[in-house]
Amino acid sequence: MSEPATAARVELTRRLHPTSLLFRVAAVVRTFLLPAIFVLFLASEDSKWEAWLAIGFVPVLLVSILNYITLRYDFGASELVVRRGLIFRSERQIPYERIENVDLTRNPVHRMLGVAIVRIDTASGDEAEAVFRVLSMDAVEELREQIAERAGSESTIGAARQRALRGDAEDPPGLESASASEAREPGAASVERIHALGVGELLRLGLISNRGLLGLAALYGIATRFEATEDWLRESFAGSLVAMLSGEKGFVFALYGVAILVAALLVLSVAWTVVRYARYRLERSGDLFRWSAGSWTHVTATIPLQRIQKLVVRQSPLQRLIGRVSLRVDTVGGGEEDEKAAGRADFVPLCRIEDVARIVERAMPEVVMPRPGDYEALHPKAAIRQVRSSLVSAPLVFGLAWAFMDWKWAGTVALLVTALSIWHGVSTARWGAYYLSETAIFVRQGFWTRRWTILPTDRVQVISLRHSPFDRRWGMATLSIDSAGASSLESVDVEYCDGERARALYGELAEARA
Amino acid sequence: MDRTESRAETAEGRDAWQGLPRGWVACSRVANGIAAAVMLGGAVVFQFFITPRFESLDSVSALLWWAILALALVSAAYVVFWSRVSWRHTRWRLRAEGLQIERGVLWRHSLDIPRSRVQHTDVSDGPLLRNFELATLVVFTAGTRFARVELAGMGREIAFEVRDQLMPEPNAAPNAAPNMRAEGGSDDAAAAADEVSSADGFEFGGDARV
Repeated sequence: MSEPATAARVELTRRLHPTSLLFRVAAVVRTFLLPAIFVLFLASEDSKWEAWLAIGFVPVLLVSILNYITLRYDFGASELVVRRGLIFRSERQIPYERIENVDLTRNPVHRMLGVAIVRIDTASGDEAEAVFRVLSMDAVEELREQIAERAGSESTIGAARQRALRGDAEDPPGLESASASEAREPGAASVERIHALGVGELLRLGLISNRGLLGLAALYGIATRFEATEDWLRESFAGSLVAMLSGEKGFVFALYGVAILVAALLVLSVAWTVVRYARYRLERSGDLFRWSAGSWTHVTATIPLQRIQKLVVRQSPLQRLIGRVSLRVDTVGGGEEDEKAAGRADFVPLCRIEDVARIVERAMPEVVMPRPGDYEALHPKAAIRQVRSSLVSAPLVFGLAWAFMDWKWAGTVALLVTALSIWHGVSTARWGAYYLSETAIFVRQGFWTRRWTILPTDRVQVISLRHSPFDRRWGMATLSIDSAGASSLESVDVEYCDGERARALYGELAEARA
Repeated sequence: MDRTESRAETAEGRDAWQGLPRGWVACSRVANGIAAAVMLGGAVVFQFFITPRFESLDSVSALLWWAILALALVSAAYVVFWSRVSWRHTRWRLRAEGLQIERGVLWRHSLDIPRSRVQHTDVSDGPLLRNFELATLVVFTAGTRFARVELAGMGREIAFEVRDQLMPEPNAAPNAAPNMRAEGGSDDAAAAADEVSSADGFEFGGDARV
């Protein structure tokens, strides 16, 4: 962010939409809401909390407003220029031809006011190169026109990108308008529908995704805001609950209670899913994926094909039950934050197993899916090692149980832990497998939730091979394969791999990568 | 020292496995020795000033002295022998494909960093390393877990040489060029700026790369 062009300090005339202030204040309030609720609970007698809250609130608000006032942008000859800051000024120039996509996020309030949050992405950065929150739709239209026009003349990707940039400019981005926009441009490269969720799939997704607790938390938050504090809960609810449960038919009541709770959670889960994934659509036009979803806040994300690093197929036990999986992609860019990860973490929220090969083929054209027999198993004694490592925690659990319960219960707990460890160890080791094809490495991992990682060899970064003392005794090794943009929690590890095979793979991968 | 000459001298045979210079043993002995001395000093201070204040500790006071003695012996052994052992178990080589590192005595670790994936490299050193004419080579990749790989205790000159050789050639690395350029907030200022602006209307991501 150096300023090489101080000489060319042009006047920048364009600014954010005035309602930005409103959204900014709302955002600040929202950040402070959760702490406020906590404070409300913890300090109900001492009512000084407002003052403390205000102390934190005011500077943040001031900074926000200042930022709104100072942000300017304009269209240079070959780049978008964005300047902001009062004391620490920063100016950024984003060449038009580097801009990969202009993504919009709009919730109903945005739609009502005719504005949108705009993210400008280039291929290089981790995050959006620039985020405008918010711009009027007219300004968005202008932005898109300018970028498409000025980039198109020089860019090699040209037509497809221009289309992608302009394509989702419709307002509101409903079903009708999307099909209308497809019909409007008959000559352009065709938009290929990769995946969509019908009503049935949406329901299934809601039922198995366990988002009910999120909904419950939200409801609780709302309840607490309307003075429905713990006193009320304790007296009216808990009181009658105790009375009911200690009554004659206490057990029946408890059963009903659990059933109602589960049903409520499921309903909330479905509601959450519908809000988030209604109108989910994954399309590909040219070398771009376009991901869009959401009924309340409609999110559009564009994922250039060449930015996809890794594809992860996941299957939870519930998904296994109904023969579905979900797909995630890692890209360079796309951070951990929810909004930024849109379209990556839930690339395909739910699809049938049969669809996976087709989707992978569209996302990674060079990759050929393995046949079931292609996968290589781990070391024959991997199960024993895995069980042992699962059992490490058993004495601790047993000790704790011993300390707090009498020996019968402690014994039961110990037995249960042992059985679970063995089950976990054996099935993890059985499921674990890998396959190195000419173009990609496939790794199968997991126990409760299964996952298949597909990592093209030309996306492999550092390869690591580790031998612990135990590994050496058993002739095993752990092979880890690093890639860009990966989640730190889900590394691609082949544990308890046969030592010699791992050494060979290490070499083969290094060769294949080059 | 004339760097060009020493480079010419060291440039041969880089694709065979290389150990670290002998100086690293002495250097890590000093570093480990300081750490052990601080730890033991703390324990002794505890014995002299804290233990006498608590009657309940009277009975174990003698035992604690023995424990400190044992600790001293173990750390002395660690300082003298472990530095040497771990030095012997560290090696690296630089080939056309990239840099390979192997290290670890009990937990052995091999790393393969391809030349085409190197984002940038650092050579850093502290007063201790400088004193022994050593340096730490730090290689950054676009990866996640191994985004930063360090090799401490290389000869200073060799570290600079390897760094220069690892620099991606201007027109090479076709795979890496357009889509591998990820490094998350590598410089602190940018990271700080991101943090400040997270609630703002306008956010700067990584580097602009104009």
